[in-house]
Amino acid sequence: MSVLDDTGFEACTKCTICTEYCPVSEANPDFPGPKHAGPDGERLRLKDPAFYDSALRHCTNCKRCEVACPSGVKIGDIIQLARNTCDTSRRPVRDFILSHTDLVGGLSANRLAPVTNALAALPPVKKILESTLGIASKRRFPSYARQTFRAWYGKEAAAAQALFKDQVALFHGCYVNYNNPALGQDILTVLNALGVGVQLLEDEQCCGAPLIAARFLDKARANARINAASLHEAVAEKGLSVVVPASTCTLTLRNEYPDILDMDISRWRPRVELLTRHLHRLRTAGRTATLHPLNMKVVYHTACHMERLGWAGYSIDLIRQIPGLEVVVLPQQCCGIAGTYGFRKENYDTSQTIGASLFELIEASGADLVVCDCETCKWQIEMSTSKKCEHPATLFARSIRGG
Amino acid sequence: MRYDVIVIGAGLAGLVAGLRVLEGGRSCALVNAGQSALHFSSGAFDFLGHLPDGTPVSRAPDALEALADQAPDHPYALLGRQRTLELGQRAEAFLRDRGLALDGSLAAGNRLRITPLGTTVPTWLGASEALGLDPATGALPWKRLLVATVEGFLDLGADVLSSHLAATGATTEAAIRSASLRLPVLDRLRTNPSEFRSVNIARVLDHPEALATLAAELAPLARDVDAVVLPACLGFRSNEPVATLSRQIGVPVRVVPTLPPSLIGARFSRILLNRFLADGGVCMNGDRVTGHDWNGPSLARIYTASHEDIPLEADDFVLATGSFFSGGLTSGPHAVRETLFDLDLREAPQDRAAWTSASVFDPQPYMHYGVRTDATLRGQLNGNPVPNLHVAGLVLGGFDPVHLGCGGGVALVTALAVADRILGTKG
Ligand SMILES: Cc1cc2nc3c(=O)[nH]c(=O)nc-3n(C[C@H](O)[C@H](O)[C@H](O)COP(=O)(O)OP(=O)(O)OC[C@H]3O[C@@H](n4cnc5c(N)ncnc54)[C@H](O)[C@@H]3O)c2cc1C
Ligand code: SF4
Ligand code: SF4
Repeated sequence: MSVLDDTGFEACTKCTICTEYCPVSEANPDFPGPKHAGPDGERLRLKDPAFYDSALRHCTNCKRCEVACPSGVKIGDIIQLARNTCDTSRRPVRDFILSHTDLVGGLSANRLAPVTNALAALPPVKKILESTLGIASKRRFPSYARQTFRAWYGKEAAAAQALFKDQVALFHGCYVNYNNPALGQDILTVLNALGVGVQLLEDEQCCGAPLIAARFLDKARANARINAASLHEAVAEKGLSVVVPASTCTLTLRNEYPDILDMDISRWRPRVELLTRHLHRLRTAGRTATLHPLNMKVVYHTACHMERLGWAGYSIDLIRQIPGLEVVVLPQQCCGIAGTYGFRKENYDTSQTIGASLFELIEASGADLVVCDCETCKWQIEMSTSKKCEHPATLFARSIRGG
Repeated sequence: MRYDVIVIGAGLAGLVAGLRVLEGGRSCALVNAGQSALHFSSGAFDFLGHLPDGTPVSRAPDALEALADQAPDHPYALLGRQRTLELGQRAEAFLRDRGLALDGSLAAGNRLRITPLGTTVPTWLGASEALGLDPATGALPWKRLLVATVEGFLDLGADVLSSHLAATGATTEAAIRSASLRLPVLDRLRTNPSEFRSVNIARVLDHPEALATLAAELAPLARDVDAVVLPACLGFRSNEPVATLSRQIGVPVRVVPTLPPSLIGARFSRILLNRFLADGGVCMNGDRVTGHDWNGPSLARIYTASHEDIPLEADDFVLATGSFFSGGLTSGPHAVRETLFDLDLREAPQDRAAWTSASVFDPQPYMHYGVRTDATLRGQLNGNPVPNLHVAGLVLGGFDPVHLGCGGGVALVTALAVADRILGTKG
């Protein structure tokens, strides 16, 4: 298989370092860990796919194993490919709902959102969702916006954005669109202050991360084709750079499309990047904004996929520019949510066990706010600690606005 | 991106150099391509165990002059006896201040650590829960021992360990009782024998409830002994579980390192890295330096796999990429190279046959290969020092860390030396 050849699994020295850094195998002894599930298991599965071990479903695709491996083995990719090719078990309705974020978001982010949000927060409703669908009742659901970001942008922002001489395109992601349009507005504030206008892509679908995790590979491919066409148009035809606020969407577009979905994206990949990385480029090119002091302390949490991208430095450097702000970087560890993973009833306890020591550190930090580039980390941290969690762009926009 | 200092490699040398420049007020980023040799080590740091002629060393301070005579290219010889000792002593306090619980000191002389293969090795600093022998007598501080291991654990067995301990002369076979612990709490892990390893076991046993079952099983066995020895399968995040167990069963508990992965070494690595982040450093783990530009004689910037076209720039760079094992040095068909910058090497003959000696137990010539520097520890290109490229740790040449037993010491001493130089020269 062509994709597998790129995972480097033959390079494995069986050193077990990956397993040592796997948050799931620490919290859940049913998961045999990345070495066993990844390169070891792959040798067997190549002989006969029947060797597939259903325990691989516990892998959250956090990719901390890949970051730790001294031999460059793409262990997370091996496991995701095995799950998507060897596991033929039925997928519960629940997984369909959790993974089809744009379908569900599209149905929920409208004028009825306050009702939906209130309903989804009611204990009896949560119990029903748990017993019928297997969605963890203890989990607090993200709330939906009354109006999608795209709708707001079309009505309120598009015309003014077009006036800027310099332009970038924004891959806003499901979260900005359905749950937190305010972050989208903050991104506009930041880029506009640096003299750059923001366009949306012609068409944007969910990047596919939750679909890959729930084994809806066909749907992930269909989304990826649409996104790839839009990204290609923005980059190759309009000559735009594309910025992505969320670390998981960024990783999926740039790495999972070629590594898991086997797509050739070389024509647009170099111009599609994390928002804070692009802000670094603008700063290096001499573009600066006037910043007002934010006299507070924040702790920065590096999301798993941010760790894998290796780009946390861009976000940390960005907020360190803000006068008055004290920034402390938390230890490199997983918060436990792993996208839609922690929403599944059977994963709830593992998810909270993984995050427990991080939550303790956050509570003890004395910080006013947690900063993170990942929205699912935000949900997890806000549910599991007493602190709010915001994207670096929100904080930067606040400093630009002066409060 | 721009930092005052960029350190390439986050092994022992890179972490300590990074922590020290942060302490001196500089901004610093670490780039690290996968976990370091610490994860494979004993978790103890050796300063100098033997001289090149084979003479065992009991007190390193007394042996450094002889070392300089016999191995003039050794980093300790380049730095000089006084400076080496000063840096070594500073390293002791430096590591303890940053949260490593370590026993030992240069002033007290070498201790003996026990390897998973049952040999004893002179060492300098060891985890405070690790079993050490009195260097003068080679004996254990206790008379009667219980050596207990975990049923099904292959990386260190109780019988093997007991006979090893007896063979070292540290105690007699008669004074040792061995036991294999049943520990049903580990049964779920046992279903995967290949994953029944130190780290996985510790992550279960560290939980208070599991630790209580360990104490319950050990207590009756440990009633009439003076100490309990276990394989290092306890204490993933800190050594607290070992202390708790000791309190619960009422006798001292010591651990012996297992075959890799090294529970203690990896824990030390994480503690130092988390401290580096808390002190304001940026760490790019899982990233690999792939290219660079020169600016006249100096290093201008580096490029990495993750950062692609965006360079990482700094006033000073530290090369701490380790030896062959970690990829700092590469051997091709005809030459040994320093992987990233092709820096000048010490002793790297073209003739491949000269790289190894016939017996694998003899000192291996290739172990001396590594980057050539003068006392300033800067890398050289065609004999000219690169003004802002400082070299620390096992990528340096001029010594055989295995034969001399000096790997940890060289990493720590040279890391502090290059950090001092960076801080001092730019005051
Ligand atoms: C198996 C083993 C066991 C050992 N046991 C002991 C012991 O018990 N006691 C002792 O005192 N010494 C021991 N040593 C010696 C040990 O190497 C030193 O003590 C010390 O840990 C070396 O530290 P270092 O930082 O120089 O190198 P390393 O620990 O090797 O670290 C080098 C780092 O550089 C990174 N790197 C390499 N190339 C690149 C690149 N291109 N880009 C980015 N990063 C890169 C690697 O990923 C690695 O993390 C042992 C060595 C080995 C190999
Ligand atoms: S860390 Fe890498 S080399 Fe080591 S066991 Fe895991 S996959 Fe194999
Ligand atoms: S991707 Fe994450 S959960 Fe999956 S094996 Fe690797 S470290 Fe473990």
